[in-house]
Amino acid sequence: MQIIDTGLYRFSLKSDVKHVSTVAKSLYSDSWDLDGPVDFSIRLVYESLLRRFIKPQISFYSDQHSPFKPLPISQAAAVLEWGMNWCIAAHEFERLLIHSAVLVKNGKAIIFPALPGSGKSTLTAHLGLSDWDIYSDEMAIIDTSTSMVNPLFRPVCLKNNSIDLIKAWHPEAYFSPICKDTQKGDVAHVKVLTWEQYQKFDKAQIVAVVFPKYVPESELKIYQLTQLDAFNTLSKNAFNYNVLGADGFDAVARVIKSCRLFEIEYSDLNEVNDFLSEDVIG
Amino acid sequence: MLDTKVLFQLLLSPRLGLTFTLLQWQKVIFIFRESKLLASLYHVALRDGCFDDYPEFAKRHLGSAQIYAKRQAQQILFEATEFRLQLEQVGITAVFLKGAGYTLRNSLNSHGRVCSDIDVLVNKKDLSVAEAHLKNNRWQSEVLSDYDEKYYRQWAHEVPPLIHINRATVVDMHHNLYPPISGRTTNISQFISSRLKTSSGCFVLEPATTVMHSIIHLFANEDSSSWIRDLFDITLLIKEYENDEFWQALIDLSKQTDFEFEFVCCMNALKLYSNIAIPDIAKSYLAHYKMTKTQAWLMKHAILPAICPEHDLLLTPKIRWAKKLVYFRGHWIKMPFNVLIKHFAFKSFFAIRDQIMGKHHFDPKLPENPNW
Repeated sequence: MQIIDTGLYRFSLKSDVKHVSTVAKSLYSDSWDLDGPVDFSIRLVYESLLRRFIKPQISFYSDQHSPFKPLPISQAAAVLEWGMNWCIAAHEFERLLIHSAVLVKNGKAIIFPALPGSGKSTLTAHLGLSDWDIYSDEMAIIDTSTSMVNPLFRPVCLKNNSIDLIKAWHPEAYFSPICKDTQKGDVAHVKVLTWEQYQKFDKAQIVAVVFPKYVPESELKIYQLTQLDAFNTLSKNAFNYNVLGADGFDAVARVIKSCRLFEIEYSDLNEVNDFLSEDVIG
Repeated sequence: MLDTKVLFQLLLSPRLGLTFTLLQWQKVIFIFRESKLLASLYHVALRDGCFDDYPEFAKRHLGSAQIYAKRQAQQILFEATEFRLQLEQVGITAVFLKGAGYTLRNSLNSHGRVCSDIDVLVNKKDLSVAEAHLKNNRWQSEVLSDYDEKYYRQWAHEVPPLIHINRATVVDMHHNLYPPISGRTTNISQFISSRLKTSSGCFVLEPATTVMHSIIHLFANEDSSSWIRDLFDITLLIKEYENDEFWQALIDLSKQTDFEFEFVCCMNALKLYSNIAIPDIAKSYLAHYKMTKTQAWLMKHAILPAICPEHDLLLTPKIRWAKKLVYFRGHWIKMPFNVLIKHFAFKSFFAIRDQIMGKHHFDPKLPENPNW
């Protein structure tokens, strides 16, 4: 059994697949404090005897139950990360969870809610490995009473071409082996933080919401969003919006009212970095 | 050492939690998450005034669970009202049972309780009109296998689950409290006529009838996975509503419905796990009730131990065996022998197949979801 500490949530992991333990070790080993209780006990197991040998499949279990169908063994490392996301999203109702990346500079946070294929993860990984603090690639975890966003100690999930791009730009970073042909295409995780860096992070005030959209060959285009449009998109991207009810509505409204709201089209990440650093964080 | 008794004691005297180590709390959180009791513990600890002294780790999980439960209670109030109004259009009164009923009457056990569907009871003569009217108004049933369809239509005490096409709410509409195939159908008009109107306008059963139904639902059921939660419901309901009249009514109901053995099991379970003082009237009834040897053995070795929450941290071989016996007994008393054999043959064929091939090998292929 190994412990995975993501800062806010602690997991104990048992894996039938040795490879997954190795990857988890590479991504999280600096946060392995064995003492203290864990929030979720998770397992990766072979579902049936026959399936260990013929077209092997792996199932993710959160304690006694498996929330997804089994997947081919080649995707096991990605299944672990998705499973951890599921645990958080299915049990955290004290904070608002928005499907979004979070980048922070000078204590000011920008959140990037976006659909798959928008280039969100590439943007997060590149900026995070440059001079931004990366609070999350997958979910903005927002305190409902203050609307401050919490940091999370997780890798960034890269898909398809962006794996090679980030590898070329940041050869020094650690990449997990590539999982081929998942539902999201090829997937690899890149470690963007050390535990030491993470522990220096504080909750941050959100100053902007930016909806990114990667458009090949495009110059950087910036659109101001209305509060109404931003509210609609942000609340649709919140995992637990329905459960939080009025508190969720108020939290989203507070973020929207206190933030600058943009939609950007881009192809060059350095242009995006300049815009965010100079014009948004300022 | 955590066991069923300690966990039940924690629910009844939440100050016990103040003595727990963090590792014990971790186990409690895992077990109660599985038994859907986290938010219930939140509320009993809050009422007791000891919640704030719990460790942060525990508070976080209990607090999160209670937010979910609170939202669900809101939804139940809304959905029950919608459902009531829908059936009133065709002059049919629905009585809300179990979880939805507890929430509607706002009894103490409803605070923090979560449920997966809404159970209602209607008169059998109204059933087909009610079902047809609902199906014309955005309620649907899933397409069932021929075997399952037959199970519901010929043997069961409910129609196949009704699902709202927009909100995905699930309603189980019953016409009896127990499957007619068992030959033990209760005189349901007596239950329905004992209804009370709650502040929402929705009807629930009177306290004694409610508890009798909870007893039947628990102790004549084959699935023991939520028994600890169900026994906690019964405990709190009794504490809230008991008086001499209540106990007399409960004993009378157990006789009228012919679920005396289940009532006796319940009293013994309460003696074993809870701190409820069984009144003399029930004690003298228990003293006069003659169990067969098989029944006495079954109660001691299967039914009482099977109240244990279904979690690997607690399931000893003895308890697993008890739960298997309960599973078999639950079917045994529900179905005539020839029907039972066929039922088990069907179910075990699929279970064995899934064990060899993996659970989802024969599932219909689902469309791929790119956002997952």
